[in-house]
Amino acid sequence: MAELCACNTGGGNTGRPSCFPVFDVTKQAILVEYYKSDGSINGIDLSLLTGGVLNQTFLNERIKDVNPKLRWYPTPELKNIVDERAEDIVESFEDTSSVFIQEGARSFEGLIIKGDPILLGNLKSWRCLGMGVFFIDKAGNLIGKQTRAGYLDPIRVQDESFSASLIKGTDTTKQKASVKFIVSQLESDANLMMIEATKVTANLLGVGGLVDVVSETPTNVTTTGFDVQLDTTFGGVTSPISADGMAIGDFRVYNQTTSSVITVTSVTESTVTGGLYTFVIPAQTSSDVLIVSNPITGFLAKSYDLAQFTVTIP
Amino acid sequence: MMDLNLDNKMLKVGNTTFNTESLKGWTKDEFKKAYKGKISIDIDEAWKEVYKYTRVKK
Repeated sequence: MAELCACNTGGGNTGRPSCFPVFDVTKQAILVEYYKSDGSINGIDLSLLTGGVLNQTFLNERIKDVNPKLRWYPTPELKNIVDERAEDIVESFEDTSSVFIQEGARSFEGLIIKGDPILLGNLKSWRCLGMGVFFIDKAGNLIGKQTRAGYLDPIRVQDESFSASLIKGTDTTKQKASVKFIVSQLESDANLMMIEATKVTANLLGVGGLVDVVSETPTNVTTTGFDVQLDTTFGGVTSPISADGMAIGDFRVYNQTTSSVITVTSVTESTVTGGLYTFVIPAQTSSDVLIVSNPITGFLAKSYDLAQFTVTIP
Repeated sequence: MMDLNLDNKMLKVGNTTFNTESLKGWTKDEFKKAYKGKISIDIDEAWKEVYKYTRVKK
């Protein structure tokens, strides 16, 4: 970002308070889509923090937002952080002097221990998005930028710079995923700001993202209900890790044929087979197609993000 | 065994969560037919939990 020359006001003051906080090493990154659908930055409206405190309710609403475009996507803990700017770009002259042209690009890199192909695939999906990032440091500070009053905004990531790769384990090392990106040249380090850890009561450090959940083909479908096996995308191909602990409030059932929301009577989780759920619904008409999905309001309380599936009434 | 959530519309009985609004008008026989073998507690005990939500206001 170009720094404007303060020709009329003189240089900036260089004094500092006797005690002030500084950023610590990054432990996690929170990936976000940089812009909301209305074109505004997907940042934190500081007026929504009660008493300036980032509490658990606020964090849950961001991490578990039913709207994936607004949601925060925290990475697992990152190791071996590299977060530094390349050398400044200067113009050199024959007398061996030089003048500053612009700062070098800031690149970021971190390792996710036990990074796996599922996580890798999800991370790779960010590359084509206009994305930003908040950082959580070792002290529990939430770091972003402040370029507009009343907001802490994500730091813009240079388009198409995000990459993730799998580093397989060796005889002496663990499998890892590597995450790399370049901070946008539109950003200035001078704008970096944070919500201090002392103003964070939520369990921010170590916060986890949502887990994808997919369905198998519904079975025992009748006009008044169906069974469905719900699994996470993790685990082996023949031994997926089941999505346990879901309840009626974690689902929305919509009759696509009649364009109406169905009020589900009950959802029963099998005590024998993990992730097997029995839905009881009011009687539907034969051939109606139902769409089962996440709820569309509130937040995803169980940290599961269900890929919608359909049920055709026999 | 029973757990009402904040909006007072969900009832958890054993391994089953009900929308209490949907229970109105259910009879004991209908309930037993639908949930016997599925709900993780004794079906008669479950009915005791559910019964008060089945009554329709006149």
